[in-house]
Amino acid sequence: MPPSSRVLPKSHHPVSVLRMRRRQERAAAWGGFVFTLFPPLLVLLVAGLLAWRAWPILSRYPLSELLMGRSWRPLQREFGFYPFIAGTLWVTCAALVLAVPPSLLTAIYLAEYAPSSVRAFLKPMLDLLAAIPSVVYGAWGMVAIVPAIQNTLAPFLRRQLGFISLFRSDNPTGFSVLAGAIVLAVMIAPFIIAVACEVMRNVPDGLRHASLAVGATRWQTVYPVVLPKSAPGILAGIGLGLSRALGETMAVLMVVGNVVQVPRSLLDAAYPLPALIANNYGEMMSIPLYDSALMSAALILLIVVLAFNLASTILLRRIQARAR
Amino acid sequence: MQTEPHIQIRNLNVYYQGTHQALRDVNLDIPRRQITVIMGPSGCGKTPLLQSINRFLELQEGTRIFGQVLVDGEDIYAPGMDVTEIRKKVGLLAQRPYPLPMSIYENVAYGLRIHQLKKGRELDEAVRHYLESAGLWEEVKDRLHQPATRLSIGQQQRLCLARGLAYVVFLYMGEVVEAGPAEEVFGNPRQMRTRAYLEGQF
Repeated sequence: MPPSSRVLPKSHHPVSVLRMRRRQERAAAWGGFVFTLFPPLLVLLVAGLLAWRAWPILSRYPLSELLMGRSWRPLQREFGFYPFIAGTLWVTCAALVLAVPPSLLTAIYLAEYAPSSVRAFLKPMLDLLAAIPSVVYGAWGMVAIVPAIQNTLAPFLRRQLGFISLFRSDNPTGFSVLAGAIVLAVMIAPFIIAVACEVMRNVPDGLRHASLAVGATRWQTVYPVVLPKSAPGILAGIGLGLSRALGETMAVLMVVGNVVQVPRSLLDAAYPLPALIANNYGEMMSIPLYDSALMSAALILLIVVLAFNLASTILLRRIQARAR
Repeated sequence: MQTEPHIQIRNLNVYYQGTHQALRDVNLDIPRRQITVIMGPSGCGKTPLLQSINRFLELQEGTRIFGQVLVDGEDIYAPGMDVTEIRKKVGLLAQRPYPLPMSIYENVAYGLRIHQLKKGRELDEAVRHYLESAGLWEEVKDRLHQPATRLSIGQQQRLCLARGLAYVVFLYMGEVVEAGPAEEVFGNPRQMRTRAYLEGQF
């Protein structure tokens, strides 16, 4: 007789209970798996549909002409997306430059310096900022930011910093890259602050104390200890803000001016991709290929967002691998 | 000639979160250049007592502290005292090791750099000296510039000890969980520093 048959105790549960539990377990695993598949499938489906609808244009023009072409005259069948791509990148980059440094400082203050009473008061306000609908931000931008740029900021920048081409423009209005960037920066800042703050609060206190015990000040602790430890998370937060900035439509199209041109300064008007699609879809559809051109714009936007996401994921992995 | 006790604690009362009293009317003299051991059952207030000497208590919100703690006759709770200067004098080693997210070398050099005490070759020599004091030099001398987190827990503890020894001017405190002579855990008290150790969990 093999010894194992004696060593293993017999289960006290009846067979039916065991079978039930096994079925339950399997159902949970499979159900979860199927629903987890939906998001990636949906991305593929959306991309596929866009590619199919964009095909009439994509098959007729060389890709370089579509992506680098500067002339957008649908009636003459000229479809250059470069002004729109450039507009998207200009507004997004400017928004990030405006949003990231103050957001990080805010997050550092909230996570490291603020007493919990102040944090309990400020955090919900910041979260509220993230919940305001984008059209409200757009309206605010039109009545507050655009006139402020036109009457005060633009003349000042032109006069004081006009020797830098970034601040030189003959745009007489306030509708500009800068207006879009300011509105966007205000919109994405709450996301960056919330994520960065959360990540920094997760750094173990023991690590902070190890630095403070040596006689380091708060800032001497934040900079070499807390920031490196939370760098991957902070970067993920910035990536979240970036994705949102790239795709934000309503608030931006209300204040950027929507002029088809490649912006050369912050004070120039721009016409980002989402604004192009939202402004024109459903109109002038009798123009041949117009519908297909707008679908191409959507596809390009999707690819740009995916590329940025991929890049930030790779960067994240690198940093995490180095931190291990 | 200094004959007064290195540290004098007078009528120290500490409350956590406003209501819970952690220390009640503590009066204590810690003599100079000796090892002092504080022991007691868990939760009796050993850690708050140690933390009152380098002003770590106030890091926890809602802590109220009454009484005096004199280091070299100077009340460290007097208004206008520079906390960083106190902690430069009074080192504290935590129970669990927390290597900072940087290399082994930078971990030991950390305090010296923060207070701008040494640089260049002097710094290299200091790092070597304190790693030797902590009994870690032989194990890490070939990988000083690797991340400190790759060390084993025991090595990390000795690294944190070296980091503490490196900047502290007068006094050194540590928390020990295991029973056993403090000298075995922390190395011989070769430096002429006052040391207060805490032991618990017998």
